[in-house]
Amino acid sequence: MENVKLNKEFYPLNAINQAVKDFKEAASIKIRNEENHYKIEITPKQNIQFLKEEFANYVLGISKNKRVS
Amino acid sequence: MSKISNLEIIKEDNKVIIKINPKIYPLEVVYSAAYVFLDKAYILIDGDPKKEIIVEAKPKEEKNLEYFGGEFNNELLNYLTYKNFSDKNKDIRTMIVQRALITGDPDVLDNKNSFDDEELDEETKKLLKELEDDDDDDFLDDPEGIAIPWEEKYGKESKKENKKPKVREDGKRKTK
Repeated sequence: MENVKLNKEFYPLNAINQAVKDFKEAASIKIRNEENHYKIEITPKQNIQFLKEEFANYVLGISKNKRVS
Repeated sequence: MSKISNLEIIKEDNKVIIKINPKIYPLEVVYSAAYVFLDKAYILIDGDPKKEIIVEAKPKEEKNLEYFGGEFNNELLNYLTYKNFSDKNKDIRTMIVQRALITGDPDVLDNKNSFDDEELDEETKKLLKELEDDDDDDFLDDPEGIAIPWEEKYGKESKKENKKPKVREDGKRKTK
């Protein structure tokens, strides 16, 4: 299992939820609510290198696009 | 001479930390710059959007980390400049779009709700006045004669070149 912490100020929950849906085939993902961060627990279903980093990038992309729209 | 830098290089983890002042580079500028690098690096944004934004960038390929951090700084500046110009020209863009969408309703032209002259700076007021005074009929000028129909332009000459043979009433061609 891999963990990544995403700051609530920069990564909105709706963007994370969207990413979790999109990644459901690649990994089983849980979101834990902490004080300033969301702790994302990623259990890969496939052998994907840098999965948590890719997930964080993906969430960032969604977050940015949501701000534009 | 001291070196001013907002970069912290962590060679062991192959990543560079970029510290950003949100009073200089607003969050949307940071997002835009980070977005550009998503295919080249793994990006993580942390910190406090009011005090200091911290971007952790881990290049996907082997790269000079200081150079990479410098590139990110350049992109920040790029988007900041773009944002400043965009904000400055927002009113003019809105007016241009409104003019383009104007229907035959004269009330739209008279509607001052979208613009309050007191809010606009002098340069914007000047440009808006130029747009209002602009003679829209300029596009009707046709110095090259492109709009003239072909028949009107060449019709008489072509008639002279392509003379139809004169035919008598009995159907036989007339000779000279």
